[in-house]
Amino acid sequence: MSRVKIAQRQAAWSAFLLIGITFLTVGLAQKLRWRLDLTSESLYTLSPALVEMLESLEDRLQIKLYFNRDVEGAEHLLQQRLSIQDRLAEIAAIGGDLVSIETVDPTTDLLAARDAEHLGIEAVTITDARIGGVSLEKLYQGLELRYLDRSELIPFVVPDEFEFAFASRLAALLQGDRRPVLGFFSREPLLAPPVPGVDQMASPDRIFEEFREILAGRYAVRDLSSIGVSNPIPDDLAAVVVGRPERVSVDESAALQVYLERGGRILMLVDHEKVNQSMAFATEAIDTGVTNLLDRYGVTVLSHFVWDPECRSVPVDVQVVQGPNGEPIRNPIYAPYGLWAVARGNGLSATHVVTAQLDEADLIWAHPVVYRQTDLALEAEILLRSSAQARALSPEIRLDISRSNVQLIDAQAARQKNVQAFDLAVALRGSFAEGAPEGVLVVIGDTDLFQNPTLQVAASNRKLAQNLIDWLASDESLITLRTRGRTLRPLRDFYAEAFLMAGGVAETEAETRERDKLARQARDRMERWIAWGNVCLPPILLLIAAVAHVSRRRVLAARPYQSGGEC
Amino acid sequence: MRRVLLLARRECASAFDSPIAYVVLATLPVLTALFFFVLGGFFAGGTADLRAFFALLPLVLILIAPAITMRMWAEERRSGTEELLFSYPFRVCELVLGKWLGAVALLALALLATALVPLTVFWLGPLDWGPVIGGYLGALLLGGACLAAGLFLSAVTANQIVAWLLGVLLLAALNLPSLLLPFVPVSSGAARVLLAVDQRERFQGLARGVLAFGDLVYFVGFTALFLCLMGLVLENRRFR
Repeated sequence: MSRVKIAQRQAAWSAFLLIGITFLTVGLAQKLRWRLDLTSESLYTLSPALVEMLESLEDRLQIKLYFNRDVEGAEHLLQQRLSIQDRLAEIAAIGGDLVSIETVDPTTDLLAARDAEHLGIEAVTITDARIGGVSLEKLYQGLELRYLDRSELIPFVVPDEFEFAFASRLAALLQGDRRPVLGFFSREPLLAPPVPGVDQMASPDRIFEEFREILAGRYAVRDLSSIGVSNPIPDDLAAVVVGRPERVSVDESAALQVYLERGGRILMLVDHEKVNQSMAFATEAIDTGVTNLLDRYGVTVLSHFVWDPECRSVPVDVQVVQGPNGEPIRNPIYAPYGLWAVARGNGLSATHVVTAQLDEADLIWAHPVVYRQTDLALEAEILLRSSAQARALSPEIRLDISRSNVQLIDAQAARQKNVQAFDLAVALRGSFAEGAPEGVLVVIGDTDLFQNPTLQVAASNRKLAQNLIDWLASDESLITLRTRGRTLRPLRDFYAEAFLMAGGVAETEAETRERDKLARQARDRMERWIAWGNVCLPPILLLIAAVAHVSRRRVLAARPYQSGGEC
Repeated sequence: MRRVLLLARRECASAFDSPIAYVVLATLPVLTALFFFVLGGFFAGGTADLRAFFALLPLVLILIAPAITMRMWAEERRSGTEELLFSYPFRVCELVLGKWLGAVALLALALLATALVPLTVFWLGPLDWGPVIGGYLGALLLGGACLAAGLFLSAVTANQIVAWLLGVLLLAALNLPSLLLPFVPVSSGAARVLLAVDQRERFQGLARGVLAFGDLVYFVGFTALFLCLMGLVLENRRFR
């Protein structure tokens, strides 16, 4: 064999060896999960709780995304969807072979559309009014998780809440039938026994039905219809919610006390009145029956209402104006309603895990909660507090939301000399009897904050409700996830700038339309300049550099040769 | 190392003697800006985000990287200067690294020419610089890998056009599986293998702002493999 052939054979063997070594090294490197997240908000750093769950997978986790590929007219949503897919990629990277992700488009795939309908993933309709009239586009953004023989669903994924929604569903999947059980004690009517094939309709008097539904995502919720000394609260409950206690008997109160003294965890929502919004906000006083129980631990819920200038605005009247064709247009008139306070900033405890990351919480006809230290030396922390400009109003005050009554309420508040911050919720932790294991009692001087109408609209109250229960059930891992958001990064609004420069809204509609048209033209012009400037500037600069380079070479070439000199 | 840098400088400088360097330096910023600002609906999205910009880079590099490297060995071989180069007191690994670094320097200049895009977006809104840094680092790593593959193909052929065509085909095969998989029926095992070697998929991770050890090793390994293969080819030819 010639030397050339030997060399060629050696080279071929070396090449194979090299390829093998490279594949082996790259393959082994994939097993190492070292990752550095450069984003300013650590967007792609999954929380330890979620990582732990992914690492504990014993079987394949199948994730099926119901996303349509094209969304004409909703391009602004594509970034959000990309962020969801990015985080799923991180989940897949951590889960390795045990996580599989499949994306289907129900708008083009009939089978996927049928699956989506069967699962309850509904399309959101988007109105695109930009190009040549109005068109309706369907937007699918659902996600299904399958693990073993169980499945969980997120019907519409909201990017800001994605990680929490995903983690809580995954936790539910991993727990299977071992979900923690929550007890719910209230005077609401019980649900009728389930009938197969018939949807169960909850009575409108089930005022905490929305609250139960929120909790059902992570817990099994059990109604406690009868409790007493002879029928104690079961020990297997992770926590108990006492929703608007009413005529609580001594026996029931004793059962709650025994539960606390055994190291139980209770969330108590206390009000001194029922408000019937459909009957002109008529109030009916409530005898809670828990005054003595709370007093034993140093807590008193006063019957006064808290009036706070930090509050929601509500429609107090309607103004009827004539439309362009003479038709009446009803415009609601809003005014601040001091009895619907909003706790934010200093009103939310910055040191407690339940409230630390919350933006705000709505408190509806709330009552001051007063805590005094007792012999039990419980550790107390105020969770919610009104602003420092709040006043306490008489419990006899009328609550109806009308322009005249709101003015009356404000006038009464103005007459109050005592201006202070009122505590609205307190968390007590410690032994509720000598030598007893540690228990927890959270008392909030408001029940409306977790009632159906509030939870349906106030996302922050939903978070507060979930945080409270997770904390009570000693599952704090998801609390930080729930409140984790994503900073918006909007572009400069050239339209708004141009519209403002043109003078903003004019006195006549025609003039406003003209300014609007000019502002749109200015925005389009600016965007064109930016786009084509970026396209054209680099080659122009390059052309200049090339001309300079060639000229310099010509000058150098034209120089006569000088021995020993620069060439 | 001094000799490697000397070779790299010579390679980079000689590229400017032909129109290739200028074409490359102009094509990258023009194509990316055109697709990002004019055709890509950046303003409709309304967010200061460069993901769409970095998503284009692998596709543009498929065309550009082989264009940078096609002449580096093929031209030397065609004009007969390869033997002259082999006669210089350079080791093969120095020649390989010198040529590759020269090509990387040219690519880095081309990437620098795209810097106007992130600066513009920064002016337009609160840009997160983490993914931008990750994106450019990824572009350099991806570009380095593409250039190594291109140089290897240039070393095995004597024709520049053939080298470019082979380079485009190889890089397309390595960059497009993740784009084509939804439309091509393949088994899940095959799909997993294709995705594992997909350069674009790994680059997207870096462009998101996440430096994963696996992705870094992939690009370094890929580059090292083709540089070593090129070294073997040249070594073989040197002593023929």
